Amino acid sequence: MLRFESLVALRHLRHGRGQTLLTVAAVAVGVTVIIFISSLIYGILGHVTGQLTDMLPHVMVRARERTPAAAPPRGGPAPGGGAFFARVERQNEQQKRLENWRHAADVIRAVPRVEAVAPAVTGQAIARRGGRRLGVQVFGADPAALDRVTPVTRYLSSGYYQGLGAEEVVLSYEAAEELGVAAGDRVRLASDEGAAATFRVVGIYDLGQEQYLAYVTLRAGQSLFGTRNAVDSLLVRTDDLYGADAVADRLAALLPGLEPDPWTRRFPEFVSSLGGYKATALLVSGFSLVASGFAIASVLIVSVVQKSRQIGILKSLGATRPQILTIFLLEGLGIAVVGGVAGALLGAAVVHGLGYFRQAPRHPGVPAEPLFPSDLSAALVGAAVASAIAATMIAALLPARRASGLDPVEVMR
Amino acid sequence: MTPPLRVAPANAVASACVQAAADVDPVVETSGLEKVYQGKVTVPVLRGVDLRVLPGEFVAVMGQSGSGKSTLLNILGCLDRPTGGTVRICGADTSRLDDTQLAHLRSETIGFVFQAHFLLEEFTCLENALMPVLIRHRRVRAEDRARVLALLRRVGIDDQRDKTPDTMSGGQNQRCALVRALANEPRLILADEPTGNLDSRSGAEVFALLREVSRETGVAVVMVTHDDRLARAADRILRIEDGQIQEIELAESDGAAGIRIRQ
Repeated sequence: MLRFESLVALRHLRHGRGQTLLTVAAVAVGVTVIIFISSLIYGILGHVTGQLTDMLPHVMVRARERTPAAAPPRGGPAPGGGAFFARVERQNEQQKRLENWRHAADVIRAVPRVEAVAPAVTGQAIARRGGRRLGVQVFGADPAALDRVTPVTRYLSSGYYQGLGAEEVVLSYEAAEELGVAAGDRVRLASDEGAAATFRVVGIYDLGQEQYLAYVTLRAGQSLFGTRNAVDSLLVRTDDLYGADAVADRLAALLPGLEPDPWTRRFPEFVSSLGGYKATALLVSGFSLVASGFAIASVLIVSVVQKSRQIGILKSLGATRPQILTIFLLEGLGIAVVGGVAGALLGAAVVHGLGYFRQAPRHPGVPAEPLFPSDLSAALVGAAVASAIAATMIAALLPARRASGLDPVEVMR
Repeated sequence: MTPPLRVAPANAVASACVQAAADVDPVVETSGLEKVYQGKVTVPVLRGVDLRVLPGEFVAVMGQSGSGKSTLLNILGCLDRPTGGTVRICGADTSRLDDTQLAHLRSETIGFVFQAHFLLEEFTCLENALMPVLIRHRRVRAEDRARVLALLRRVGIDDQRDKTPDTMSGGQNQRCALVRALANEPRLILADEPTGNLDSRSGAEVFALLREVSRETGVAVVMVTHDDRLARAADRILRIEDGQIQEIELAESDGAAGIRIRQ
């Protein structure tokens, strides 16, 4: 036979049938909503973040920019009694190149949380194909190294990037469309520095963003932008997107002449909007919890009112206040656990089912993206169930305390 | 025909049972017991009740409705606290005990039988009868189960053990309630009109069982009743009037078979 408190709680729940089912359903729906909404919000968040940051170096290390000092303002009395001020405007900043980049790359690789470093030469160029001209952003980097920092290969819709030759280029889908080129066609790139070369298109890269990009080898980039053996940046990937700031600070301390720039400083609006999304997810989950908590509390309070005479009887038989309190808390726990597990299963099933809905592919050859990007993790399910159980127990505490404090003489009268 | 009750002179002869047990520690002992209900109007219900109940005694408490019979029973059962005076149950001064200690005292020494059976509808007859054991020990030992089964046999409802209260008759339910009151082998049973909801035959049977069990087990019984015939079968009869208690003695020697009051 079960212990007294467990036995009475179990019988209450079993005997309550419809009422018990209703309360369990309230918890289950609450947990389902929490899992569904949270996984959807975090899924969308992850999808958007992935799209925006996958091709973003977490930290970009450059030489400290040359910033010519502005001349002090000059002024004096103007003819006629007025005053005049003149100021020398700052000159356009120029990007200093990294000559000794191999040493800097070694230092960066040794920093904890750094996963990969890719030396790169970047710059603007004009791409020409027949009569068409298009301004493109050129990335000159070793494909093996760059793939580890920004995975170009992952987003190739055709062709290859690994094994890129000195006279080969990978173009973004949009650039290829604008230029009207396909794999095997030739395209001429001319940089602002006046250098130009012809490349054969060997791959089309498609991230789904309106970007005109061209990936060439490091050597080709260096030739195109006249940097000789130098590069203009070291692109760094860390093991945690949101840990980039800390790594950048560490690099700044280790490499005083260089300027590590984390992605968060380059896109502050995006970072703050991520915070907004997360806060929304938390709010929605919190409201679901509170709503189901109230439902549970109201049903348990009704149960206490219905059971008040029974509580009086149990007290007359010698049941103590803690025993009565335990009975009603166990009832709450039973409802919470059954409702929580049912809600977790239902929520996981709903989220899993939504994964089957896909968008129409953007372009032929590109895999269809999910219509409802979701991120269902064991941690999320566990947190939803745990918080539902906690909310239920808090909701059960009030009626349980009320039950334990009932005067047996009053309720049995 | 049941003889009518009449008031007898004070200092009547105490029952032989009481005299014989005069040196025995009382199960119940109250001194100057008072209970006042505070509300818009202050209502004094008990005014200085002195009472001793010895082991094995069967005491009937009578009185008008609202005279304080149930209040007295609730105070003796540690369900209510007096506003004055002292109550000792098996030697324990209840005013010195907190709620949990009172609950333990109830569990270990007192059994209740109410006018309504107050069985728990979610439990079977046997489970209801075992409930005080479960509350006291948190689990049921084999010897508890055997003892309770023997009691169910004794009151003639062992064949109802797996039935729930809603499928049993009123008399069967009240017998089950009687077994429940005896389950923890209490020293005191407090019965508040235990036959009040039963027809006369079932009522007589339940009362007879209560009386017999009291004799067999030596448990003291304090029973509130409106029924003169049942009261007559008790060892002592107490009447509550104006918040005070008077002892009534059935005058066997009196040709009219009346009763006398001991002041």
